[in-house]
Amino acid sequence: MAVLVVVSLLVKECYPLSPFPMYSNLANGAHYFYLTDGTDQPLALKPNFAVSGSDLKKKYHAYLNEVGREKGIEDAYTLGDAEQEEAGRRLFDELLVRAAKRDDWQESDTEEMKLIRVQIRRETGEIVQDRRTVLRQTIRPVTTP
Amino acid sequence: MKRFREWWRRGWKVPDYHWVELLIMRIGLAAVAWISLVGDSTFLLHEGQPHPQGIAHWIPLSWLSDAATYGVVKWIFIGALVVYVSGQLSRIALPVATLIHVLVHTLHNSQGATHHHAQIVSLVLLAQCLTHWWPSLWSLFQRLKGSDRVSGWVWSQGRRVEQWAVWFSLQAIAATYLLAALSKLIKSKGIWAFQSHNIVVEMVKTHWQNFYSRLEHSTDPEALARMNFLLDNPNAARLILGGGLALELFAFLMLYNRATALVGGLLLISMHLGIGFLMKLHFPHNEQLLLLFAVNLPFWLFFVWWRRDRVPSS
Repeated sequence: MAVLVVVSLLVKECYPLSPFPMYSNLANGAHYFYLTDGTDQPLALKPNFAVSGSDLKKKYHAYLNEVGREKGIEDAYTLGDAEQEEAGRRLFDELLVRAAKRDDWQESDTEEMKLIRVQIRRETGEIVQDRRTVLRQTIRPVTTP
Repeated sequence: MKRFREWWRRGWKVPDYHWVELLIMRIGLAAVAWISLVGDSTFLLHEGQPHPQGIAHWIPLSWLSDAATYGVVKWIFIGALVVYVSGQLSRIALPVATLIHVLVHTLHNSQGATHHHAQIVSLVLLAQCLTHWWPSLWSLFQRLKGSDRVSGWVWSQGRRVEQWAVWFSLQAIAATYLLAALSKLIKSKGIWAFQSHNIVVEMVKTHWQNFYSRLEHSTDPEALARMNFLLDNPNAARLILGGGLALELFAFLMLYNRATALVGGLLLISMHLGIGFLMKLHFPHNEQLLLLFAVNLPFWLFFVWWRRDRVPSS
Protein backbone atom coordinates (compact mmCIF):
# COMPACT_ATOMS: atom_id res chain seq x y z
CA MET A 1 0.00 0.00 0.00
CA ALA A 2 2.82 2.38 0.92
CA VAL A 3 4.51 1.75 -2.45
CA LEU A 4 1.28 2.46 -4.33
CA VAL A 5 0.68 5.67 -2.36
CA VAL A 6 4.22 7.03 -2.88
CA VAL A 7 4.41 6.12 -6.58
CA SER A 8 0.95 7.58 -7.28
CA LEU A 9 1.83 10.86 -5.58
CA LEU A 10 5.02 11.06 -7.64
CA VAL A 11 3.69 10.15 -11.11
CA LYS A 12 0.34 12.03 -10.79
CA GLU A 13 -2.21 11.06 -13.48
CA CYS A 14 -0.89 7.94 -15.21
CA TYR A 15 -3.75 5.46 -15.48
CA PRO A 16 -4.35 3.39 -13.37
CA LEU A 17 -2.24 5.47 -11.00
CA SER A 18 -3.70 8.71 -9.73
CA PRO A 19 -3.37 10.93 -6.68
CA PHE A 20 -7.20 11.23 -6.76
CA PRO A 21 -7.18 15.04 -6.60
CA MET A 22 -10.96 15.54 -6.87
CA TYR A 23 -12.10 18.45 -4.67
CA SER A 24 -8.64 18.66 -3.11
CA ASN A 25 -8.68 22.45 -3.08
CA LEU A 26 -12.04 23.90 -2.18
CA ALA A 27 -11.68 27.56 -3.08
CA ASN A 28 -14.22 30.31 -2.68
CA GLY A 29 -14.95 30.19 -6.41
CA ALA A 30 -15.47 27.62 -9.15
CA HIS A 31 -16.48 27.72 -12.79
CA TYR A 32 -18.24 25.63 -15.36
CA PHE A 33 -19.06 25.81 -19.08
CA TYR A 34 -22.06 25.20 -21.27
CA LEU A 35 -22.96 25.55 -24.94
CA THR A 36 -25.71 27.51 -26.58
CA ASP A 37 -26.85 28.04 -30.13
CA GLY A 38 -26.80 31.48 -31.78
CA THR A 39 -30.05 32.46 -30.07
CA ASP A 40 -28.64 31.69 -26.60
CA GLN A 41 -30.68 28.50 -26.25
CA PRO A 42 -28.62 25.92 -24.29
CA LEU A 43 -27.59 22.79 -26.18
CA ALA A 44 -28.00 19.49 -24.33
CA LEU A 45 -24.46 18.10 -24.13
CA LYS A 46 -25.04 14.37 -23.81
CA PRO A 47 -27.59 13.84 -26.61
CA ASN A 48 -25.70 16.09 -29.03
CA PHE A 49 -22.03 15.47 -28.22
CA ALA A 50 -21.92 12.46 -25.84
CA VAL A 51 -20.13 14.50 -23.19
CA SER A 52 -21.30 15.61 -19.74
CA GLY A 53 -21.05 19.12 -18.31
CA SER A 54 -18.06 17.98 -16.30
CA ASP A 55 -16.39 16.49 -19.42
CA LEU A 56 -16.88 19.79 -21.28
CA LYS A 57 -14.91 21.70 -18.65
CA LYS A 58 -12.13 19.07 -18.48
CA LYS A 59 -11.78 18.92 -22.26
CA TYR A 60 -11.67 22.72 -22.56
CA HIS A 61 -8.92 22.90 -19.95
CA ALA A 62 -6.97 20.09 -21.64
CA TYR A 63 -6.97 22.19 -24.84
CA LEU A 64 -6.14 25.35 -22.90
CA ASN A 65 -3.15 23.56 -21.34
CA GLU A 66 -2.15 22.38 -24.82
CA VAL A 67 -2.27 25.96 -26.15
CA GLY A 68 -0.30 27.13 -23.11
CA ARG A 69 2.39 24.46 -23.65
CA GLU A 70 2.72 25.49 -27.31
CA LYS A 71 3.37 29.06 -26.16
CA GLY A 72 5.72 27.94 -23.40
CA ILE A 73 3.36 29.08 -20.65
CA GLU A 74 2.93 26.62 -17.77
CA ASP A 75 0.04 28.26 -15.92
CA ALA A 76 -2.92 28.07 -18.30
CA TYR A 77 -4.96 30.34 -16.02
CA THR A 78 -2.77 33.28 -17.05
CA LEU A 79 -3.60 32.88 -20.75
CA GLY A 80 -5.50 35.69 -22.46
CA ASP A 81 -8.68 35.87 -24.52
CA ALA A 82 -6.99 34.85 -27.80
CA GLU A 83 -5.61 31.65 -26.28
CA GLN A 84 -8.92 30.88 -24.62
CA GLU A 85 -10.68 31.30 -27.96
CA GLU A 86 -8.14 28.98 -29.58
CA ALA A 87 -8.79 26.35 -26.90
CA GLY A 88 -12.52 26.82 -27.52
CA ARG A 89 -12.03 26.32 -31.28
CA ARG A 90 -10.15 23.06 -30.71
CA LEU A 91 -12.89 21.95 -28.35
CA PHE A 92 -15.57 22.75 -30.95
CA ASP A 93 -13.64 20.80 -33.62
CA GLU A 94 -13.65 17.70 -31.43
CA LEU A 95 -17.26 18.10 -30.35
CA LEU A 96 -18.48 18.51 -33.93
CA VAL A 97 -16.77 15.28 -34.99
CA ARG A 98 -18.53 13.51 -32.13
CA ALA A 99 -21.81 15.27 -32.95
CA ALA A 100 -21.71 14.06 -36.56
CA LYS A 101 -22.41 10.54 -35.23
CA ARG A 102 -25.31 11.60 -33.01
CA ASP A 103 -28.93 11.50 -34.21
CA ASP A 104 -29.96 14.49 -32.07
CA TRP A 105 -27.34 16.69 -33.70
CA GLN A 106 -28.09 15.49 -37.21
CA GLU A 107 -31.73 16.43 -36.72
CA SER A 108 -30.92 19.88 -35.36
CA ASP A 109 -30.40 23.00 -37.45
CA THR A 110 -27.86 24.76 -35.24
CA GLU A 111 -25.82 27.16 -37.34
CA GLU A 112 -23.91 28.94 -34.62
CA MET A 113 -22.50 27.75 -31.33
CA LYS A 114 -21.30 29.64 -28.25
CA LEU A 115 -19.11 28.48 -25.40
CA ILE A 116 -20.19 30.17 -22.17
CA ARG A 117 -18.05 30.28 -19.02
CA VAL A 118 -19.83 30.78 -15.71
CA GLN A 119 -17.85 31.92 -12.69
CA ILE A 120 -19.46 31.06 -9.36
CA ARG A 121 -18.35 32.66 -6.12
CA ARG A 122 -19.53 32.81 -2.55
CA GLU A 123 -20.21 36.35 -1.43
CA THR A 124 -21.48 37.22 2.04
CA GLY A 125 -23.75 34.24 2.46
CA GLU A 126 -24.97 33.95 -1.11
CA ILE A 127 -23.84 32.45 -4.41
CA VAL A 128 -23.14 34.82 -7.30
CA GLN A 129 -22.74 33.68 -10.94
CA ASP A 130 -21.13 35.72 -13.74
CA ARG A 131 -21.37 34.62 -17.38
CA ARG A 132 -19.17 35.47 -20.32
CA THR A 133 -18.88 34.18 -23.86
CA VAL A 134 -15.50 32.54 -24.50
CA LEU A 135 -16.15 31.75 -28.16
CA ARG A 136 -18.89 32.35 -30.72
CA GLN A 137 -18.46 30.35 -33.90
CA THR A 138 -20.42 29.60 -37.04
CA ILE A 139 -20.73 25.86 -37.44
CA ARG A 140 -19.33 24.42 -40.63
CA PRO A 141 -20.43 21.03 -41.89
CA VAL A 142 -18.13 18.33 -40.57
CA THR A 143 -17.82 14.97 -42.23
CA THR A 144 -17.13 11.84 -40.25
CA PRO A 145 -13.69 10.45 -41.07
CA MET B 1 1.49 3.02 25.19
CA LYS B 2 2.45 -0.60 25.89
CA ARG B 3 -1.16 -1.68 25.42
CA PHE B 4 -1.32 0.21 22.14
CA ARG B 5 1.86 -1.52 20.95
CA GLU B 6 0.37 -4.92 21.87
CA TRP B 7 -2.88 -4.03 20.08
CA TRP B 8 -0.91 -2.88 17.03
CA ARG B 9 1.11 -6.13 16.90
CA ARG B 10 -1.99 -8.33 17.12
CA GLY B 11 -3.40 -7.06 13.82
CA TRP B 12 -2.38 -6.63 10.19
CA LYS B 13 -2.48 -10.36 9.42
CA VAL B 14 -3.97 -11.92 6.31
CA PRO B 15 -7.35 -13.40 7.31
CA ASP B 16 -7.90 -17.10 6.67
CA TYR B 17 -10.50 -16.57 3.95
CA HIS B 18 -12.66 -19.66 3.35
CA TRP B 19 -12.88 -20.97 -0.21
CA VAL B 20 -16.56 -19.92 -0.36
CA GLU B 21 -15.60 -16.33 0.52
CA LEU B 22 -12.87 -16.41 -2.15
CA LEU B 23 -15.33 -17.72 -4.75
CA ILE B 24 -17.88 -14.99 -3.92
CA MET B 25 -15.12 -12.36 -4.12
CA ARG B 26 -13.96 -13.66 -7.50
CA ILE B 27 -17.53 -13.59 -8.86
CA GLY B 28 -18.04 -10.11 -7.41
CA LEU B 29 -14.78 -8.70 -8.78
CA ALA B 30 -15.49 -10.18 -12.23
CA ALA B 31 -18.93 -8.54 -12.20
CA VAL B 32 -17.53 -5.15 -11.12
CA ALA B 33 -14.74 -5.39 -13.73
CA TRP B 34 -17.32 -6.11 -16.44
CA ILE B 35 -19.74 -3.33 -15.54
CA SER B 36 -16.89 -0.85 -15.15
CA LEU B 37 -15.66 -1.40 -18.69
CA VAL B 38 -16.62 1.59 -20.85
CA GLY B 39 -20.01 1.40 -22.56
CA ASP B 40 -20.13 1.34 -26.36
CA SER B 41 -22.14 4.57 -26.78
CA THR B 42 -19.31 6.65 -25.32
CA PHE B 43 -16.23 4.61 -26.10
CA LEU B 44 -16.84 4.09 -29.82
CA LEU B 45 -17.04 7.87 -30.37
CA HIS B 46 -13.40 8.38 -29.40
CA GLU B 47 -11.34 9.67 -32.30
CA GLY B 48 -7.68 9.08 -31.54
CA GLN B 49 -6.09 10.03 -28.23
CA PRO B 50 -5.83 13.85 -28.28
CA HIS B 51 -4.53 14.09 -24.71
CA PRO B 52 -2.56 10.86 -24.09
CA GLN B 53 -2.29 9.64 -20.55
CA GLY B 54 -0.22 6.85 -18.98
CA ILE B 55 0.77 4.09 -21.39
CA ALA B 56 -0.90 6.01 -24.27
CA HIS B 57 2.15 8.29 -24.30
CA TRP B 58 4.14 5.41 -25.78
CA ILE B 59 1.59 3.08 -27.37
CA PRO B 60 -1.23 4.24 -29.68
CA LEU B 61 -4.50 2.84 -28.39
CA SER B 62 -7.08 4.41 -30.70
CA TRP B 63 -7.51 1.07 -32.56
CA LEU B 64 -9.41 -0.08 -29.46
CA SER B 65 -12.36 2.22 -30.20
CA ASP B 66 -12.99 0.56 -33.58
CA ALA B 67 -16.39 -1.15 -33.19
CA ALA B 68 -15.30 -4.55 -34.52
CA THR B 69 -12.06 -4.58 -32.51
CA TYR B 70 -13.79 -3.51 -29.32
CA GLY B 71 -16.35 -6.28 -29.83
CA VAL B 72 -13.56 -8.88 -29.96
CA VAL B 73 -11.70 -7.31 -27.01
CA LYS B 74 -14.85 -7.47 -24.89
CA TRP B 75 -15.28 -11.19 -25.64
CA ILE B 76 -11.65 -11.85 -24.69
CA PHE B 77 -12.30 -9.88 -21.49
CA ILE B 78 -15.39 -11.96 -20.70
CA GLY B 79 -13.43 -15.17 -21.36
CA ALA B 80 -10.61 -14.08 -19.04
CA LEU B 81 -13.13 -13.19 -16.31
CA VAL B 82 -14.89 -16.56 -16.61
CA VAL B 83 -11.56 -18.39 -16.30
CA TYR B 84 -10.64 -16.18 -13.32
CA VAL B 85 -13.93 -16.95 -11.56
CA SER B 86 -13.25 -20.68 -11.97
CA GLY B 87 -10.13 -20.22 -9.82
CA GLN B 88 -7.98 -21.99 -12.41
CA LEU B 89 -5.25 -20.44 -14.57
CA SER B 90 -5.45 -17.17 -12.65
CA ARG B 91 -1.88 -16.37 -13.67
CA ILE B 92 -3.05 -16.19 -17.28
CA ALA B 93 -6.61 -14.90 -16.88
CA LEU B 94 -5.72 -12.03 -14.52
CA PRO B 95 -3.03 -10.39 -16.69
CA VAL B 96 -5.36 -10.55 -19.71
CA ALA B 97 -8.29 -9.01 -17.82
CA THR B 98 -6.05 -6.40 -16.15
CA LEU B 99 -4.39 -5.40 -19.42
CA ILE B 100 -7.71 -4.95 -21.23
CA HIS B 101 -9.22 -2.97 -18.34
CA VAL B 102 -6.18 -0.70 -18.12
CA LEU B 103 -5.87 -0.15 -21.89
CA VAL B 104 -9.55 0.62 -22.42
CA HIS B 105 -9.65 3.13 -19.56
CA THR B 106 -6.32 4.65 -20.56
CA LEU B 107 -7.79 5.45 -23.98
CA HIS B 108 -10.98 6.71 -22.34
CA ASN B 109 -8.93 9.00 -20.07
CA SER B 110 -6.79 10.15 -23.02
CA GLN B 111 -9.70 12.23 -24.38
CA GLY B 112 -8.99 15.27 -22.23
CA ALA B 113 -11.54 14.44 -19.54
CA THR B 114 -9.97 12.37 -16.78
CA HIS B 115 -12.40 10.16 -14.90
CA HIS B 116 -11.61 8.58 -11.56
CA HIS B 117 -14.34 6.00 -11.19
CA ALA B 118 -12.55 2.98 -12.71
CA GLN B 119 -8.99 3.31 -11.35
CA ILE B 120 -9.91 1.45 -8.19
CA VAL B 121 -11.08 -1.54 -10.26
CA SER B 122 -7.93 -1.55 -12.40
CA LEU B 123 -5.80 -1.27 -9.25
CA VAL B 124 -7.53 -4.22 -7.58
CA LEU B 125 -7.07 -6.32 -10.73
CA LEU B 126 -3.42 -5.23 -10.90
CA ALA B 127 -2.88 -6.04 -7.20
CA GLN B 128 -4.29 -9.56 -7.71
CA CYS B 129 -2.23 -10.02 -10.87
CA LEU B 130 1.01 -9.03 -9.13
CA THR B 131 0.21 -11.23 -6.11
CA HIS B 132 -0.09 -14.27 -8.37
CA TRP B 133 3.05 -13.44 -10.32
CA TRP B 134 5.26 -12.09 -7.54
CA PRO B 135 6.77 -15.44 -6.40
CA SER B 136 7.88 -16.20 -9.99
CA LEU B 137 9.15 -12.66 -10.58
CA TRP B 138 11.07 -12.76 -7.29
CA SER B 139 12.59 -16.11 -8.16
CA LEU B 140 13.61 -14.80 -11.60
CA PHE B 141 15.11 -11.69 -9.99
CA GLN B 142 17.18 -13.87 -7.64
CA ARG B 143 18.41 -16.02 -10.53
CA LEU B 144 19.41 -12.93 -12.52
CA LYS B 145 21.26 -11.66 -9.46
CA GLY B 146 23.10 -15.02 -9.33
CA SER B 147 21.88 -15.66 -5.80
CA ASP B 148 22.26 -19.16 -4.32
CA ARG B 149 18.80 -18.94 -2.77
CA VAL B 150 16.71 -19.44 -5.88
CA SER B 151 13.90 -21.26 -4.12
CA GLY B 152 11.74 -18.22 -4.62
CA TRP B 153 10.07 -15.86 -2.19
CA VAL B 154 6.61 -17.15 -1.43
CA TRP B 155 3.74 -15.60 0.45
CA SER B 156 4.07 -16.62 4.10
CA GLN B 157 1.85 -16.65 7.24
CA GLY B 158 0.51 -20.04 6.14
CA ARG B 159 -1.90 -18.41 3.70
CA ARG B 160 -2.53 -19.34 0.08
CA VAL B 161 -1.83 -16.99 -2.80
CA GLU B 162 -5.59 -16.42 -3.33
CA GLN B 163 -5.89 -15.24 0.27
CA TRP B 164 -2.95 -12.88 -0.19
CA ALA B 165 -4.56 -11.61 -3.40
CA VAL B 166 -7.66 -10.54 -1.45
CA TRP B 167 -5.46 -8.92 1.20
CA PHE B 168 -3.60 -6.89 -1.44
CA SER B 169 -6.92 -5.97 -3.07
CA LEU B 170 -7.98 -4.44 0.23
CA GLN B 171 -4.63 -2.65 0.40
CA ALA B 172 -5.20 -1.17 -3.07
CA ILE B 173 -8.67 -0.01 -2.03
CA ALA B 174 -7.37 1.57 1.19
CA ALA B 175 -4.54 3.23 -0.77
CA THR B 176 -6.99 5.08 -3.05
CA TYR B 177 -8.65 6.67 0.00
CA LEU B 178 -5.37 7.51 1.67
CA LEU B 179 -4.20 9.11 -1.58
CA ALA B 180 -7.37 11.19 -1.84
CA ALA B 181 -6.86 12.41 1.75
CA LEU B 182 -3.16 13.20 1.20
CA SER B 183 -3.94 15.11 -2.03
CA LYS B 184 -6.45 17.23 -0.12
CA LEU B 185 -3.95 17.99 2.63
CA ILE B 186 -1.07 18.67 0.22
CA LYS B 187 -3.02 20.88 -2.21
CA SER B 188 -4.75 22.89 0.49
CA LYS B 189 -1.56 23.12 2.58
CA GLY B 190 -3.27 21.29 5.42
CA ILE B 191 -6.35 23.52 5.74
CA TRP B 192 -8.80 21.44 3.67
CA ALA B 193 -11.18 20.79 6.56
CA PHE B 194 -11.20 24.51 7.41
CA GLN B 195 -11.98 25.57 3.82
CA SER B 196 -14.41 22.69 3.24
CA HIS B 197 -17.46 24.96 3.79
CA ASN B 198 -16.75 26.12 0.22
CA ILE B 199 -18.13 22.75 -0.90
CA VAL B 200 -21.41 24.55 -1.46
CA VAL B 201 -19.79 26.38 -4.42
CA GLU B 202 -18.88 22.98 -5.89
CA MET B 203 -22.42 21.72 -5.24
CA VAL B 204 -23.87 24.62 -7.23
CA LYS B 205 -21.34 23.97 -10.00
CA THR B 206 -22.18 20.25 -10.10
CA HIS B 207 -25.89 21.04 -10.16
CA TRP B 208 -25.53 23.27 -13.24
CA GLN B 209 -23.09 20.91 -14.97
CA ASN B 210 -25.64 18.12 -14.53
CA PHE B 211 -28.37 20.41 -15.82
CA TYR B 212 -26.51 21.32 -19.03
CA SER B 213 -25.70 17.65 -19.68
CA ARG B 214 -29.35 16.90 -20.54
CA LEU B 215 -31.14 20.20 -19.87
CA GLU B 216 -32.92 18.53 -16.98
CA HIS B 217 -32.78 19.76 -13.39
CA SER B 218 -31.21 17.13 -11.16
CA THR B 219 -31.63 19.09 -7.95
CA ASP B 220 -34.93 18.76 -6.10
CA PRO B 221 -36.20 21.36 -3.57
CA GLU B 222 -34.84 19.25 -0.69
CA ALA B 223 -31.36 19.29 -2.24
CA LEU B 224 -31.59 23.07 -2.62
CA ALA B 225 -32.54 23.27 1.05
CA ARG B 226 -29.46 21.19 1.93
CA MET B 227 -27.27 23.55 -0.13
CA ASN B 228 -28.75 26.56 1.65
CA PHE B 229 -28.23 24.88 5.03
CA LEU B 230 -24.53 24.38 4.28
CA LEU B 231 -24.30 27.94 2.94
CA ASP B 232 -25.79 29.32 6.16
CA ASN B 233 -23.91 26.93 8.48
CA PRO B 234 -20.26 26.74 7.38
CA ASN B 235 -19.23 25.00 10.62
CA ALA B 236 -21.70 22.18 9.98
CA ALA B 237 -20.15 21.78 6.51
CA ARG B 238 -16.67 21.68 8.06
CA LEU B 239 -17.78 19.04 10.57
CA ILE B 240 -19.37 16.80 7.91
CA LEU B 241 -16.51 17.09 5.40
CA GLY B 242 -13.81 16.96 8.08
CA GLY B 243 -15.31 13.62 9.17
CA GLY B 244 -15.07 12.38 5.58
CA LEU B 245 -11.43 13.44 5.39
CA ALA B 246 -10.66 11.55 8.63
CA LEU B 247 -12.35 8.44 7.22
CA GLU B 248 -10.18 8.60 4.09
CA LEU B 249 -7.02 9.25 6.08
CA PHE B 250 -7.58 6.27 8.38
CA ALA B 251 -8.93 3.90 5.71
CA PHE B 252 -5.76 1.83 6.15
CA LEU B 253 -7.15 0.62 9.51
CA MET B 254 -9.42 -1.64 7.45
CA LEU B 255 -6.35 -3.84 7.12
CA TYR B 256 -6.06 -4.42 10.88
CA ASN B 257 -8.58 -7.29 11.04
CA ARG B 258 -11.96 -8.42 9.74
CA ALA B 259 -13.88 -6.29 12.26
CA THR B 260 -12.09 -3.03 11.34
CA ALA B 261 -12.58 -3.93 7.67
CA LEU B 262 -16.32 -4.28 8.31
CA VAL B 263 -16.60 -1.00 10.23
CA GLY B 264 -14.29 0.91 7.85
CA GLY B 265 -16.07 -0.49 4.80
CA LEU B 266 -19.51 0.47 6.12
CA LEU B 267 -18.34 3.96 7.10
CA LEU B 268 -16.77 4.59 3.68
CA ILE B 269 -19.89 3.31 1.89
CA SER B 270 -21.93 5.68 4.08
CA MET B 271 -19.58 8.50 3.09
CA HIS B 272 -20.16 7.74 -0.62
CA LEU B 273 -23.93 7.59 -0.09
CA GLY B 274 -23.71 10.93 1.72
CA ILE B 275 -21.72 12.50 -1.14
CA GLY B 276 -24.25 11.11 -3.62
CA PHE B 277 -27.09 12.54 -1.52
CA LEU B 278 -25.49 15.99 -1.24
CA MET B 279 -23.70 16.41 -4.56
CA LYS B 280 -25.18 13.84 -6.97
CA LEU B 281 -21.67 12.47 -7.36
CA HIS B 282 -21.60 8.71 -7.35
CA PHE B 283 -18.72 6.25 -7.18
CA PRO B 284 -20.55 2.93 -7.51
CA HIS B 285 -17.44 0.83 -8.13
CA ASN B 286 -15.87 2.07 -4.88
CA GLU B 287 -19.01 1.06 -3.01
CA GLN B 288 -19.16 -2.32 -4.76
CA LEU B 289 -15.52 -3.15 -4.01
CA LEU B 290 -15.82 -2.00 -0.39
CA LEU B 291 -18.89 -4.21 0.01
CA LEU B 292 -17.03 -7.13 -1.51
CA PHE B 293 -13.59 -6.97 0.10
CA ALA B 294 -14.06 -4.89 3.27
CA VAL B 295 -17.61 -5.51 4.48
CA ASN B 296 -17.53 -9.13 3.24
CA LEU B 297 -21.15 -9.80 4.17
CA PRO B 298 -21.09 -13.61 3.57
CA PHE B 299 -18.48 -14.04 6.30
CA TRP B 300 -20.41 -11.99 8.87
CA LEU B 301 -23.72 -13.70 8.07
CA PHE B 302 -22.01 -17.04 8.62
CA PHE B 303 -20.36 -15.70 11.80
CA VAL B 304 -23.69 -14.54 13.28
CA TRP B 305 -25.33 -17.86 12.39
CA TRP B 306 -22.41 -19.82 13.88
CA ARG B 307 -22.44 -17.78 17.12
CA ARG B 308 -26.20 -18.10 17.53
CA ASP B 309 -25.89 -21.83 17.13
CA ARG B 310 -23.41 -21.96 20.01
CA VAL B 311 -25.03 -19.57 22.53
CA PRO B 312 -26.63 -21.82 25.16
CA SER B 313 -30.37 -21.19 25.47
CA SER B 314 -31.63 -20.40 28.98
